[in-house]
Amino acid sequence: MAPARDAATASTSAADGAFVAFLCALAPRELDALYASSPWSALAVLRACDSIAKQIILRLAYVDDGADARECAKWCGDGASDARALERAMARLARLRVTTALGEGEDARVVANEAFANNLRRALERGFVNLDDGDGADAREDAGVAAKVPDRATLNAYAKAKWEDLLLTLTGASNAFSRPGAKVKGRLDAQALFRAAGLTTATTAALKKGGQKRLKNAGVTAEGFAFLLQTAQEQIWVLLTQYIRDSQKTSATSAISFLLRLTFQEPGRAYAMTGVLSDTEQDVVLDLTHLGLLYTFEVKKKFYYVPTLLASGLSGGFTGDDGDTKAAAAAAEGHIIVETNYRVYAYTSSAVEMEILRLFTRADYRLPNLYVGMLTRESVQNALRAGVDAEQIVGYIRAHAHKQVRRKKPSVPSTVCDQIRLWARDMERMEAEECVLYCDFPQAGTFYGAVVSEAEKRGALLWRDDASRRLTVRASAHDEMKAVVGALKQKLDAV
Amino acid sequence: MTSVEAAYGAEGANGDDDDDDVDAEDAQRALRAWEKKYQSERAWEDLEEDPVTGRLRVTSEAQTAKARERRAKMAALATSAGAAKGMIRFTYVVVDLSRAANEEDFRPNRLSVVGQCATSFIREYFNQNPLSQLGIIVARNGVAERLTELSGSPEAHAAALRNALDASGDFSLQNTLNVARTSLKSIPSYGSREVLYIVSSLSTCDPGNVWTEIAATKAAKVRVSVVAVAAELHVSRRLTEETGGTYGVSLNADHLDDLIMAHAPPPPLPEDATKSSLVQMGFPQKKHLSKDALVVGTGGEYVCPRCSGRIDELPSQCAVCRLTLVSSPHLARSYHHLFPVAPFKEYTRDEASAKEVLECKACLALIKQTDPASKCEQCSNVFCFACDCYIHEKLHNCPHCTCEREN
Amino acid sequence: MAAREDDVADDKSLLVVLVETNPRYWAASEGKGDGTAAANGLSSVLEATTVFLNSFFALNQQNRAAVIAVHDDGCHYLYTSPLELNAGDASASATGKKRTKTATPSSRAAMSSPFAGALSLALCYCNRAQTLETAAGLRVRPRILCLQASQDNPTDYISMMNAIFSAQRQSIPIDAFALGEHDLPFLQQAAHITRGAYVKPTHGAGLLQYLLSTAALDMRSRSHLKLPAARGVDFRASCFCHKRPVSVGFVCSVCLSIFCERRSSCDTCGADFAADAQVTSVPSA
Repeated sequence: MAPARDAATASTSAADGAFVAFLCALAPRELDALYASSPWSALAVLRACDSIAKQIILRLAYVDDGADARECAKWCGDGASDARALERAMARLARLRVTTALGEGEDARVVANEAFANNLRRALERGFVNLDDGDGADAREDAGVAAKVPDRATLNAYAKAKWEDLLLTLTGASNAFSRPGAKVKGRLDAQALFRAAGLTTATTAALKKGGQKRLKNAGVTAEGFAFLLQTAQEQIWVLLTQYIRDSQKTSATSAISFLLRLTFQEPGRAYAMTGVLSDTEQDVVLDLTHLGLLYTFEVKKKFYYVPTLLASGLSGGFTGDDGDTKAAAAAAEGHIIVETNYRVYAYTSSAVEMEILRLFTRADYRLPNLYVGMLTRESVQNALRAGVDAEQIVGYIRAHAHKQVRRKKPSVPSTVCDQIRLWARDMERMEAEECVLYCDFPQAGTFYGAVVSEAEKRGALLWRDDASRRLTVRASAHDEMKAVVGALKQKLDAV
Repeated sequence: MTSVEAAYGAEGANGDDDDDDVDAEDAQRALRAWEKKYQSERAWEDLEEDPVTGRLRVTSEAQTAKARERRAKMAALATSAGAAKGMIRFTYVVVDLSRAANEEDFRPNRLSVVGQCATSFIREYFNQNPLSQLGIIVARNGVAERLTELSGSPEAHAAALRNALDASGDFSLQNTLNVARTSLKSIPSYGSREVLYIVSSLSTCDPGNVWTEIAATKAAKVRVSVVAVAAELHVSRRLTEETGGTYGVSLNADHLDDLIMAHAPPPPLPEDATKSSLVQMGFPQKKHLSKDALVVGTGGEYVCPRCSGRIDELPSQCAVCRLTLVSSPHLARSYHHLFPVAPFKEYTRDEASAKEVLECKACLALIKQTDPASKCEQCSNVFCFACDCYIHEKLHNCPHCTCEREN
Repeated sequence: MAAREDDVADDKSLLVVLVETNPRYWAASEGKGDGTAAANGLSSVLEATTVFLNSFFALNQQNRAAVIAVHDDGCHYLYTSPLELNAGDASASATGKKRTKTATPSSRAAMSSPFAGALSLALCYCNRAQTLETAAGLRVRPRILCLQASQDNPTDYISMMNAIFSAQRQSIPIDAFALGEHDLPFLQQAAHITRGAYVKPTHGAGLLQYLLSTAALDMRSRSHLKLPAARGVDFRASCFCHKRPVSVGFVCSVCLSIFCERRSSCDTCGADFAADAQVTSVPSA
C-alpha cells in the first residue's frame, strides 16, 4: 500500500464522504464492472453523491444521447459560486465514470454511463423490490427462522458493542479483536487491518501495555486519531476500503456489489445465505459479521444473516459537511453537553466514547453513566498535536450533542467552537525557517540598499532593519546571494 | 400563555359558561399588565408529578385550559373579523427625536430601540395593509420635520428613518400635529386618516395653544394614537381620547414593540370618518419582455390591462392611462379578515367513541383520548388541536370545507 | 474555516404530491388535448409520478413523502411515509403503493378539482412535520408538488390565496405542473409567490423528464441550480360577484372586495357607494 495513495484517499474523504473517496480510488474498469453488476450499486452511488450531482444524474438518467454540454453549464444559477458548484459536481461525476463527455467544442455532450443508467432506471421503475433474482428468497416465512431473528434493540446493542470493541482494540484498551480467530473461516485480523489502513503503526502490539497515557503512545497514528472522531459510517468505509483492497480476490467488484446490496436490505430481517450467495459473498458475510455489520445464525443447517443498522448506514448519503445527517445518524445516542464555560458532560457508559472524549478534554469526574471533563487549551492542543484537527473536534461534539441541547441552534456554544479553532491557530503562530543574517554593512553608501533590493527581487528577504542595517535571507538562497553580494561589492568598490 | 392565565382558565373550565368567564378575565387582565412580569414565576402551579416516572409534567388540566383559552381567543378574532375595517389607511408615524430619546433606560438607548420598533412596524404595516400609505414625521429641536411623504414603499421609509436617527432639542406636539393634519387633509374621502406618535419626551414645547390644534385635528377626522416610551402625559392622553385613538405606555422594550405593532392591523372603521367608494383598479399580468421590443410606459415586466403600458413594479399607477395597478395577491392578503373560518367546536367524545383513537382529518396525527380535539361544524370533520390553531391562526381555510364548497 | 453549523443545508426533504384523480375530468379528456401530458390519460401520469417518487426516495434515505389524491368530491391521502423519527426505513416501503379511487363519479358535474382544499391539507401535514422535527432538534424542508390537469375553479380564489400565503410564510415552495391544455393562473401565482416552479410540459409524453429535472430539486440544490423561469404570471383576480376572472375591476375601499362592474353598494361589507357616484382612483404619492 503506497502511503501517497492513502493520503489522497484521506484528503478526498474530507470533502466527499468515505464512500465516494473509495469509489474514486477504483480503477475505471472496476467501476464499469461495478455499475453493470446490479441496480443496487447504481442506487448506492446516487445516494452517496452531493445534492447537485444527484440532480444531474436524475436529469441524465432518461436521456439516451445525453445533454448538450453548453446547456448543462446553464443549469446553475447566476452566481459565480453556483457555477463552481456545478462544475465541481460535474467533475466528480466524470471521475466516478457516471457521466462521460463526448465530442468537442460545439458538439460536446454529457452522457450518462449506459450500464449505470440502465440499472438506475430499472431500480426506479421497479421501486426497490425484487431487483435481484435471488432477492426474493425471503426467509421470513419460515417460523423457525423468524424465532431466531433478534429484535431491533438487541440487534442494535449487538452492533454497537461489536463496533465499540473494534474501536477499543484500535486504542489498545481492549483485546477483543486481537485474539487470533483462526478457527472461524475468514475471520479477519483487525490489528492487521488497522495497520494496513495506516491507523496504527506496526509496533502497536508491543507498546500497548502503557497505562494512563496509552492513547498517546499506543502507536496510534495521526490518521488513527482522526479516524476515531469520524462518524461510524465513515469509519466503516475506511475499514471496508482497506478490507477490499487486502482481500486478494479476483472479483473485488462482486464483493463491493454485494456490500452495496446489503445497504439497501432491511435491518432486522433475515436473508438466506446457504445456497443463495456465492462462496466469495459468504466469506464477506463472515468477515462482516465479525465487524458487527451483520448478524448470522443457523437454522436446520442453513445459514442466515441479518443486516444491522451499521450496514444500512453504509451508503446513507452525502456526509461532506452535512451536520443534520450526522446528527440524525447519531440522534439515538447523542450524549454530549458542552457549556459555555468549556465544561463537557457526556451521559455515556461506553468506554469508547469516554476514550474519545479523553482525547481532547481534561477528565474531571467519571460516574457510572456520566463523564465530566473540561476543554482546556492544553487538552485540545494535545489532541491537535496527536493529529486531530479542530474541525474534527467541533464536528464530533456537534454530531454527538445531547438531545436536549440539539434543540438549540447552534447546539454547541459558538464561543467554544471558535475557541477550539483559535487554539488550533495558536499552534500555527510560529513557523521556523532557516536563515542567514547579513550585518555590518557600512553606515553610509548604497551598498546596504542594493543588497536589500537584490534579496527582495529573489524573494529571499525575510526581515530587514534599516536603522541598524541588517537583514536576513533564506538559507536556501544564501549561496546565490553570496555571489550577488560579492559582485555588488566589487562594483561599488570599483566606483 | 402564562401560568396565571392558565390557572384562571382552569377555574373557568369548571363552569358551563366558561367562555364568558374567560372574556371577563381578559378584560380585567388588560388592566394588570404590570403583573405579567411575575406570572411566569408561578409556573409550578401547572406542574404535577408523573406517578410512574416521577418526572414533572404540565398538568393535563392546564393543557386543556390553555386549549380552551386559545380557542376562545380564536372565536373572538372570528367575530371581530366581520366588522368593517379601514382597509385603505393613510398614516403618519411621528417619531420623537428630542433629547429625551437619548436616555439610556432602554439598552443601548431609547433612540435605537424606537428606531428598530418603528422600522419593523413600517414593514408589518405594509404587509397587513397592502393598499395603504404611510409617511414619517420626526420631531426635533422644537420643529416638525417631514421625513417622507405619504407613499407605499416600506424600504424607502425604513431607509429614511435609519439615516435620520439623531436626537436633540425639544418635542413639539402642536407642530407635528399641524404638519400631519394639513398633509392628511388632501387625501381621498374613502381613506382612513391616522397619526401614530412614538413619544419619549415628558413635555411638549409649543408655539401656541395646543388645544386648538387638537380640536382642529378632531374636526379633520384624524385618528391619533400615542405610544409613550416613558410615562403618561396628560395632553397626549387627552389627544387620543378626543380623536378616538388608543394610548399606551411601555414597560420595557418588548412591551414597546407590542404596543407599536398593535397598530399594524387595520383598526375598526368609525362610522363617519370615511366615505366608502368604489375604486377602479387594474390587475396587470407579468409578461416577459423581449429585449428589442418597443414599449410604452416605464418598460417593466408588468402589462397594464387597459392600455398595455409596461410597468416596473406593483402597486403603482400606470404611467400612460393613470389606472391604479395592484397585484391581486396584494389584495388577497387581507381577505382572511373578511371571510374567517368559523371557529371549531370542542369535540367531546360520547360513550361509544370514548376509547377510540381518532385520526386528525388534516394531518393524520393520532388523537388520543386525553388530547383536545376540535370539530368543524360545517363539514363535521374532527381535527387535532394543533391543526385547529394552524387553520385559524395561519391558514384561514378549513381543508375539507374548501373541498366541498367546490361543488 | 469550514462551513458553520448554521449555514449547512441538508438535502433531506419532505414532499407532498397532489395529483388530480378527478374521474369526470379524466373521462371527458380521454384522447383530447394533443401533446399535453393529460392526453395520455391518468395512468400515464400516475406512472410518471410513481417513478418520480421512487427516484425521490432514492435520493436520500431520510426523504419522506405524502401523496394526496384530488378527487371530485374531496381529497384523500393515498400514501404517507412515517413522520416520526426512526420509525422505519422509508425506502423499504417506497414501493409507491398507489391506488386510484374508483368511486363512481357523483351526478354533479364537477369538472374542476378542489386544489385549494388539497393544498390546505398538504400544509396541515407539513405543519405537523415541522412541529415534530423542531421538537427533535432537526430541520425539515417541506415542499409541495401539484399535478393539475383540469382548469381552475374561480370560486376557490380566496381559499387558494390563503393557502398560498401560509405556504409563503412557512417558506414552503409550491411546484406546479399544468398537465392540461390551459395555463393555470392560480398555480402560476402560487409558484411565483412561494418561489416554486411552474411548468407546463410541451411534450406530454416526457412528463417524467420534466418531473425529474424540476420537481426533484431539493431546497439545497435550489440555491445553486436554476428553476425554469416563469415566462409570465397571470395576476388576474376573480370578482366576488360572478367569480369571473377580471383584469380591470372595481375595489371596495372598505373591505377590498373586487367587483367586475359598478354597483351601488358592497355585497361583502354593505358599504354604500351611492353618495359617491364618481369612481375614484387612489392617487399615487
